[in-house]
Amino acid sequence: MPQHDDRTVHDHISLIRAVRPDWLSIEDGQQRLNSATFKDGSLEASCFISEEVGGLEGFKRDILPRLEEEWGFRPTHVATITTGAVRAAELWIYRKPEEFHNNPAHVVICPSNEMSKSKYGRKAGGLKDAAQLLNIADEQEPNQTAE
Amino acid sequence: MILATMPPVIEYRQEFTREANTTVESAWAQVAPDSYGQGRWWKEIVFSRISKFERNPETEEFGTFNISEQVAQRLRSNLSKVTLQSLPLPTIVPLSGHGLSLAWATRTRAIELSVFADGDVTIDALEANNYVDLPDAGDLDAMLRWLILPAEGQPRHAAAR
Repeated sequence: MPQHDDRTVHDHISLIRAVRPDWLSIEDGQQRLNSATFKDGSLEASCFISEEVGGLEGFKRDILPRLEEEWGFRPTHVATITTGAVRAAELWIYRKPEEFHNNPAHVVICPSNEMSKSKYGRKAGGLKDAAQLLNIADEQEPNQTAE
Repeated sequence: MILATMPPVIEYRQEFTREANTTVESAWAQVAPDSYGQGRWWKEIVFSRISKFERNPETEEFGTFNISEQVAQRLRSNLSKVTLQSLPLPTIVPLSGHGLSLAWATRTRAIELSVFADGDVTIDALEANNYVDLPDAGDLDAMLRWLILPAEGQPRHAAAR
């Protein structure tokens, strides 16, 4: 487990996380992220630093094909969230290039060492409300705006 | 028994498939199939769905969204202790990192159960999309009873057996 919050990843930085179709729910006729999106069974939710992968276009070009290999299907949506929003939820950000083809832009969102799993679940589950959902299948117009 | 007062018990949903670009969307039917046998039916459906995410013990493959046999067993064990015979079916969604999330929802309330890769289970209650602390926190059976109890000002479910 990460031992500290990597403060070299500054608060304004945007993170991209690929989204499974079943991490989307319909609420009031709109697609929205559900609480599974940022919750990770091993307490380390993989994301990519947007500016280090070349933004959404770079993500689609370089990261998505490898995710497609690992997942067995091509994700059509991503969630973006600022590191500031992650830290506001008392969660940490930690670089883990070794867990994605030595890509230095790969980070994980994780709990602090003292955080209980129960608290982690609520905090990570709540990140959906601070994130933005983007359809990357054909266009990059946002489906949902952070409140 | 008035049909309109019965809890929703049959879920119609678009199932996720490898190729599909679908979104989970649930609707609920209104009638409980009592003939299915003492309410055990909902567990059978849920156990069956859990097994779809369980790692195949005959292969070495451990996919990104699979859960281990031990995790699946822990989950089934927790669900087995639930005494309620009539419940909405939960939405079952894999978590990255070999976990699984089950969510039971009514109009205003929800119970979210998460099982982590090490087998730990957490249970959360939500009311109007906000997490709430219940006196029986951690007791799945009690929390599910809270789920199907009427919120203030709403009619009581007739089939919360």
